Amino acid sequence: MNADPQTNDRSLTGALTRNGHWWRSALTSGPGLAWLTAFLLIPLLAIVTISFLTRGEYGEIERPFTFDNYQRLLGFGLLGFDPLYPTILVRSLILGLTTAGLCLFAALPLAFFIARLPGGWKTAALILVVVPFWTNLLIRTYAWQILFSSESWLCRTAQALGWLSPGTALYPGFLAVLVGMVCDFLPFMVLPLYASVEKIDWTLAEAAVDLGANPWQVFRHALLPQIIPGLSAGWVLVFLPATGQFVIPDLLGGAKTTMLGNLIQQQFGPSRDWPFGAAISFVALLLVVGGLWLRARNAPEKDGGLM
Amino acid sequence: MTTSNQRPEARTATEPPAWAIEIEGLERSYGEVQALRQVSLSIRKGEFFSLLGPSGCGKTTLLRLIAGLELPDAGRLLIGGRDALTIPAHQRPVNTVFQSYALFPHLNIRDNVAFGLKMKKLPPTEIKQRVDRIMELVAIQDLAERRPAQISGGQKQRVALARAVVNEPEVLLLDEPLGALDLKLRKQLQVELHQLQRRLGITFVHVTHDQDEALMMSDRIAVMKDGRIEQLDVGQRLYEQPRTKFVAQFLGSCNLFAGPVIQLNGSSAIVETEVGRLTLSFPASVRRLTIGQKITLALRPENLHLAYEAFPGCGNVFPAKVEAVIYGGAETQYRLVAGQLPLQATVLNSRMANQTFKEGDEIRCAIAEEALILLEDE
Amino acid sequence: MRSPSPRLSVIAVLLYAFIYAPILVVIVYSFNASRFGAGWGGFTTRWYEVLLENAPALSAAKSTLLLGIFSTLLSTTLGTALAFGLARFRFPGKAWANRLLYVPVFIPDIVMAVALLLFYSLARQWFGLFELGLTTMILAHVTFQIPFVTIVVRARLAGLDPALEEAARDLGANEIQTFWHVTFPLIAPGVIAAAMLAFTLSLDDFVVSFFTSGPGATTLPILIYSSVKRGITPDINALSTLIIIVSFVATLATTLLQRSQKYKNLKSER
Repeated sequence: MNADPQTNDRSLTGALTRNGHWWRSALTSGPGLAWLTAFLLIPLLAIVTISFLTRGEYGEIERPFTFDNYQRLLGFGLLGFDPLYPTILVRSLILGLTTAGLCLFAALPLAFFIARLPGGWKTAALILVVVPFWTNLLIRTYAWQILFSSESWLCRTAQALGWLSPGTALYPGFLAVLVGMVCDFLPFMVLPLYASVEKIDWTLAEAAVDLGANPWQVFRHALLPQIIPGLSAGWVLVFLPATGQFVIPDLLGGAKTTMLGNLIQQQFGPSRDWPFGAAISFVALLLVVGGLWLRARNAPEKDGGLM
Repeated sequence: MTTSNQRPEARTATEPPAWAIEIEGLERSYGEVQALRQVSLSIRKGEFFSLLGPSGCGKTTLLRLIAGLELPDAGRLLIGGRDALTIPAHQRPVNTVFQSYALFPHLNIRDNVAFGLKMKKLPPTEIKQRVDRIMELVAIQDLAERRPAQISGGQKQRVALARAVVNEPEVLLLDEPLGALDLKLRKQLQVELHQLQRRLGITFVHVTHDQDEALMMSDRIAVMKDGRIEQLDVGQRLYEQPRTKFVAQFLGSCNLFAGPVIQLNGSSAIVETEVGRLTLSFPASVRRLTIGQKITLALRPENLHLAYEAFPGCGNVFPAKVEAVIYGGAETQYRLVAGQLPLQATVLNSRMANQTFKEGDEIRCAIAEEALILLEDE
Repeated sequence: MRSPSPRLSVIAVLLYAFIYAPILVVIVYSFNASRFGAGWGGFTTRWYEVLLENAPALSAAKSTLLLGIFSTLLSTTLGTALAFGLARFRFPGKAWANRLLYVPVFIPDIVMAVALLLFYSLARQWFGLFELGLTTMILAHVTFQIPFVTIVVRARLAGLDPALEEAARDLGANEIQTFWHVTFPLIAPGVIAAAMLAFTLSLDDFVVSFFTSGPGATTLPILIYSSVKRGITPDINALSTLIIIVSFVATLATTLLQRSQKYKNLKSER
């Protein structure tokens, strides 16, 4: 009968909205939406606006409307083509992709491991994945500074084995940034992936083995299709934030590993070139929106699956 | 049952009807789906009224409109003679027993029952008195401190009933109140519910898809289909004189015969059907028939009489073959075929007149003229 | 199902070691007597004593807590009301409101931080409002907390049987009574979970605080960041260890609390 609770129309609420009491919406949603408009939407619009303006002599924002900031970001500066900024853009994307890829690579065995544990251990293993996340990111990140410094036992061992020249360290550098990123983002890949692995119908794998598939073929054709939803959710949860990460490259990287986030910070900090910083921010924002849009288009499942 | 069914009829003859609910031209649609089309009906004070129909016929929508949980697109609704459409749900003098019971999981049974009275801010002593009385009435006083999750389905049903009735509503609405219970408990609660209604004298409007339940408990029944009321009457008349094929088939099972009228004399007609000529007698008031008109006749299975030899002095007799015998304890069902037409017959397994038939038997069927029901064209 | 193979178990244990390594390193080094560098100089608890006399650290801890508490109170109130409005009523622009809600979840911290910085400085320039300090940080934190609160509470609301609220209305409760006597008690666990999430987000945040804090207000993450930038001092390890312990205990406590609640619910459902 009318037992479908999804259809608002049929419920009490339906009756209320049909009455057109706009003030109910205004009282409940109003304050929150007003807040988000004031402190999120308007600031973001301000960013977009000043990204088309000019930096004054003392770092103030000036009127002339211009596309210069975007041209600069693409490498077309006053002195001809300069690959500095495009390189940073590409480097950030590479960092995001590599982080997501490595997280995926590490999360797969972990997700399968957890899914195969008996009941109570399963919960414990899952909680163990999340627990480090409750410690401040800064702390977890600077710990890698200690671990990767030239006197740490890790680097000493590497030096003794001849993998590293004596006296050198792994930090600062791209590798240190990457390790820090993977360590930080791993839980975001493990959780959605685990949710999918948990639901796998293993009889399909058994059927594939029965039909003579080798382990890779079993994975590729019987298991992989079943974990695609988790994979794509994890990918979004890692790739998008990783591309815009600021703290980890800032603490573990050096001048050679400047990323989008650091570039933005520089413009709003020491360089005081807010219009240029705004342009970079807007590009980072577009990346995120584009990524989400692509996913929403390709994955028809509900938003809820993502959270 | 017969007497209680006819009680409201008797009352209308002597005094002017006092309506609990009057509905006129009520309409409600959800997007493309029209849940209610021009529904009009009136429910008497103190009546046990059932809305009967299959899933999606609009009976629950109608109930929710009365409760104020939905608003109609068009039409009028009076409760106790007052226009109810302008009154919000929480101020209407009606209470509902929900299909899922909808007991508040965070409150114990006593607080669940007291909820309505507390919302009305009655003095605590009065609340306690009324709650105690009603909990005793439906025999749930021992559950007072329990949570809804800790009691059985049948107990939940009683709590839901107590929670609604304690407010002494003018009308009590029941949405498939027994739907979630097993058969035995359902039968027991049908009787209890019926008795409770008589005792309290509150008007009950009861939604169900179970024809037996509707027949057993109700004073009057409205059979609904596709958002319309097909027929509204006391249970006995609905069963014995269904107006349409839908009503005939929804309330109990029936055999159908169709064919043209070939002869008319007064209040009887001869129809050329699949099983041969059948004579039908009908009250003159019912309908004008014309020669050659194609009509449909319904016959209840218990009115199809079976025998090995001819029935002396009976007109409507035709041969049939027994296809299947289904023994059901109190009665036996026979699946027959007469010519091409499949038929069913129900024979009471009484010691008095017991004649049984076997599969494959060639037998004769007889129908009393009055037992044939003339259906309206669809 | 088969239990994990030895090879899989070894890989998993190594991965766990990997994600726990940084935390263990910080704890171990907080007891390292050597003042400089990563060499081990013997066991000491001296850095904890030093920390107790570190006035900036204590005042940063106070600001962090104040920031967390005020922003959580505000965002939980606003976010719960918003969740209720989005779940129950229809209004023009609702689809856009839903999209706006997901922006802070996915937007890079730094973009949100500089947007707020710009907004505050413009407002200061034009209207003389929003002098940077604890208040601006609270406003900023509430902004990224609201969506998380709303999403969590809305999920809880969606799981609520609509018949319960209808039953309340039917029994004579007006809208406000229905909310306080039925809806709110039933979504309360979701609201508490949302508040805890919001509080954690506030404690964890560095980037947004960094850009919206004034000279007067420093939080623990900002303090740690500037120490790290100047070169790690051992008492920062001690501070971090304390933070780690507090967050572990808090997480453990809430997890146990939720489990016992779930257990109680499970028991009462039987």
